[in-house]
Amino acid sequence: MTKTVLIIEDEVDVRNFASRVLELEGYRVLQAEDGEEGMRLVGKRRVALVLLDLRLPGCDGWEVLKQLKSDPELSSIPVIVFTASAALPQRERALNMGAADYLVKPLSAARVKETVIHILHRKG
Amino acid sequence: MDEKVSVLIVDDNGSTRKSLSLIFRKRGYETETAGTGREAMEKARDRFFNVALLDLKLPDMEGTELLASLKGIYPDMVVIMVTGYASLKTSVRALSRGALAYLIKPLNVDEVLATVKEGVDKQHLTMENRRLYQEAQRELAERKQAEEALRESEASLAEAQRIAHLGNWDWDIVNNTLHWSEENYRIFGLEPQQFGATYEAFMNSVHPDDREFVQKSVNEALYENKPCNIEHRIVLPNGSVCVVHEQAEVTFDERGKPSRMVGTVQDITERKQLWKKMVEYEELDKLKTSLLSTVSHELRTPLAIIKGYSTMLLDYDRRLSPEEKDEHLHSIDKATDRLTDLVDRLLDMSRLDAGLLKLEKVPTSISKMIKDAVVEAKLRAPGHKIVSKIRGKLPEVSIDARRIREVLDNLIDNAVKYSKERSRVVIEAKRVGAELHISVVDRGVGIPAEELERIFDRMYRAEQRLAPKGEGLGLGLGLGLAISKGLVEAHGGRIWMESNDGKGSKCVFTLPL
Repeated sequence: MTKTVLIIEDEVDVRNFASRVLELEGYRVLQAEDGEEGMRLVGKRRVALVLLDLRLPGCDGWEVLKQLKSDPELSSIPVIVFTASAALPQRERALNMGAADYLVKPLSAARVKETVIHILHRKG
Repeated sequence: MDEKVSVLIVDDNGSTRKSLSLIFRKRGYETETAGTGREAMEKARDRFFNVALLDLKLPDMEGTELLASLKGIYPDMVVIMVTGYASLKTSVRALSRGALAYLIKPLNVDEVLATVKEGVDKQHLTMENRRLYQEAQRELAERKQAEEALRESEASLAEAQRIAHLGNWDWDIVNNTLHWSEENYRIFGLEPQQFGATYEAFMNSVHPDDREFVQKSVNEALYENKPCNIEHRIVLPNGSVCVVHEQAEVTFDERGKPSRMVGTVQDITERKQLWKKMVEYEELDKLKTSLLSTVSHELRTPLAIIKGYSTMLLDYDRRLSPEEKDEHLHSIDKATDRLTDLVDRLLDMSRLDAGLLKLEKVPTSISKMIKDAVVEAKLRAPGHKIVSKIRGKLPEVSIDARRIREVLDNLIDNAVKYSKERSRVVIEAKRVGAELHISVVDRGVGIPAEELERIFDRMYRAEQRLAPKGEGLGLGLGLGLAISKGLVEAHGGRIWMESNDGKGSKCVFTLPL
């Protein structure tokens, strides 16, 4: 069965790149350009994994992560944080909040692919 | 005097001693007798006698000799000389040595008693006078000491007030007289003769913008029993402005009407300035951190696009159509431009900061520059109506054309970014005296009045909700207006923003001719 990955990212080119890589790897991809849109999609569709940017207009990535992890129906969905901020405390904070991984941009196509596959495989 | 008056009778004749003693005792005197000069001195050494009756001829010494010894110990003792023969010479000598009188035997009792009484009265007066005098002296000394102590404590109070920049005041509300301490005058920069010593005179020194607030606080203290604890500004005669902290209490009369108000006033100008500086430093620190994180974010985003698409092109080469490859290469190209632009802006900003920006000034037609800028802006923002309005024929101006064009493009792009599609953006230019005024007017969201000054600060950006959707947060470092300001000022011009909140904004810059 084809798994669905949701990408929440406001930069259109970064979003398209990640989305294209995952499509080429056989996933179904949903795209959201802000937090509200992302939360709306995750509530409507069966999502296997979320790729989440932290710096988003309006409801930011931290808020999305908090909402996902505090909802019993959604908290089991792995979230990969995917950000241009390399600050160490942010990494700690995201992992403590339940993020499955914390990736700092720029990222190669292989790194995106491998991280997603690895986390979905680990989850079984 | 409650005590009995004491009399020492000195005579070598025992019966004279006895009869005189008897006479005095009968009249309530206390007596003691001595037969020789030495005995008399011994008795007198033990205690004071009010009166001594001395026989001039004593077996062991002259009466005048004894007189001198007794007077040496007790200057107040009344000494009366008694003798069987009259001798002018000795009597004068006795009187000159302090004897009160000189009586001749046989003694007349009434004369003796009268003389003794006269002497005792005189002695009493002298002693009382002395006592009063000493008491007065002591009181005077005590008062002097108290005054000295008061002066000292006033001096140390004034000193403490000076050190703490703390004055105190006392306002008699009924008579409207206001008393100020020394430091109070110093804080207000006034001499006592310059101050009207009334509430109104105080109000005169209060900063005009704070008068209403001070009046309100005083009224609340007087009529609503609220504590008076306020900070306000005052204006010194030399025009400088200080900040003071006032604390006051009100006293009420028996009918509950306010009668008196006393308080302290402290100059907290320095403390306020220090506080302000601290807040500024904290803000600067925050700004630095935020600049770093923004720079990192802004650089990493185009890098992510370049790295992502190039690795994708390498990894999935055979599975991508030529059209898709072309699309991705365009994205990489765009991201490279964006990165170059960011680096340029960062370099410009640091050059401006360090004063290292070199301007290559050449005579330039600003009209032509505006027309060119409008043509190019229309290509970048085809949805907007971008027009130029040039008033009259403008003279050429000596500028670094590339830099001023950068300012113009930046202002136009900002106008476009914060206004709706199909709305108008007007670029105006006119001559005002020895300057050119160039303005960019939009019909966009505008800027709240309180943010107009900050808008040229580094990293300032209008609230995110104002930015059009889809552009993301990534565009720009928030350095655009800060760099524009630096470039205009490097040309000797000024730049400012005018705005009607919600009805658009107008950014104006000037260039000296």
